[in-house]
Amino acid sequence: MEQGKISAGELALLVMSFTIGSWVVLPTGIQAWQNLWLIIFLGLGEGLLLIYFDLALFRRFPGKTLFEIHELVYGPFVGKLFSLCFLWFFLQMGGGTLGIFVTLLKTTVFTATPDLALLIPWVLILVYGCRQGIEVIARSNQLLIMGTVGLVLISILLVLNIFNPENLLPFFNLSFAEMLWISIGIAAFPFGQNILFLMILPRVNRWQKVTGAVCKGMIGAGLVLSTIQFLAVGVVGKAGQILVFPTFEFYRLINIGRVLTRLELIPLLNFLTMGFVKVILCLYALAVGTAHLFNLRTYRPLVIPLGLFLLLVAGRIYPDISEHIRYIQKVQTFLVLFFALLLPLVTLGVAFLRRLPRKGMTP
Amino acid sequence: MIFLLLFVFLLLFLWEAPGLVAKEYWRELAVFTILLLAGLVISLLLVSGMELPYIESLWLQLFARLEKVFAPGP
Repeated sequence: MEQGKISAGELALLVMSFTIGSWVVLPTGIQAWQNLWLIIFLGLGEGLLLIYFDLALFRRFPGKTLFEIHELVYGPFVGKLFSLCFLWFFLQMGGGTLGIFVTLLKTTVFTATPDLALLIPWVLILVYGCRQGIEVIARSNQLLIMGTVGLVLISILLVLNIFNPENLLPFFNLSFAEMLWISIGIAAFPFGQNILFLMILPRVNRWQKVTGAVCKGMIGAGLVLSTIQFLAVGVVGKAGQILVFPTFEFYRLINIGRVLTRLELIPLLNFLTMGFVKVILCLYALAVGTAHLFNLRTYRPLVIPLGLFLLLVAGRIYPDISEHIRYIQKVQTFLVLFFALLLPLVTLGVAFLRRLPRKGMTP
Repeated sequence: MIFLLLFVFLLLFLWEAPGLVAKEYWRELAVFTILLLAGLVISLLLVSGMELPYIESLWLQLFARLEKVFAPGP
């Protein structure tokens, strides 16, 4: 369908940007606040385990997308039903991310701008980028992720005069069960959402390096997220717990000699790029998946209507941010685990029982 | 607003369809048209003021019902 190929290194950077995605502005497990930067590592470990199971599918069926694997394992009809469920998951993931960034922009900078005025230009760029193919997305991402990592490193220097290490105390003031639950939430979102890469892995030129690349990307993202969270806690203190976008807010407090102040727009733009990469990968997976579902020769004509769907979903994803936070706390972990753990495990189990793949099924 | 919406969707169709017809990608054209029509219908409903449900609110309602079934209170 598409001939574009990406390297394992590009894949690792894509995974990194995708994982940073929207978590960087709206972290889950905020109730753990000063421990969150540590719990991220626990969540990362669980997330790596989760993805290891998911990648077991790709190792069993090398060169096949998740949707192709579904059809091989369950047959064309049931396989397509499974794929349809995943299409909804990708659509909701992309629309949700778009919705979060629109909320961020509306509550911080463009307070009087209508949603559509923010959504339409964004979706136009997404559609244009997605039609260029995975190679262009991966190469653009190299620049964007370098900017984000650079920003995080510079942030460490910028907050030195306002960073208070006492804000980080006390360590581990939560019960083990609470910490474990929060870490599972983090393993699901953002790390578990990397199940989407099962639609992209066949485009990697060396399949043998895929597992390592995905793990490296996730570890890199874990380090970036943990560092930003560490800085946010150290700068904002306990007040950060009541902020909706704490990682964004702490940049507002930077003050270097009353010259470098009000720097929050720089990370805002920077974080937007990470959200952009996440949504464009969702759109790409949606288009490629839909094209596969209908046995099409190209996914490109579907990008415009699916981009439109993303726009519509972003507008009807949640009525207000408090509803979204309630959704994160009550639903999101279960929903992501259903798609990133349960369904792949069932598929793997059925493939094992049916002794698939047979000779000639995989290249 | 409805006419503007119809005009935009017509433009989108005319942007994509001729290329698909030229290449004889009939199946692609059919799927593209169906998806675009679905998008048009939802957009028209929204523009005409119909209150469509919020997706995450639906999930929350569903989970609240499941909670009642699996963990009935006193």
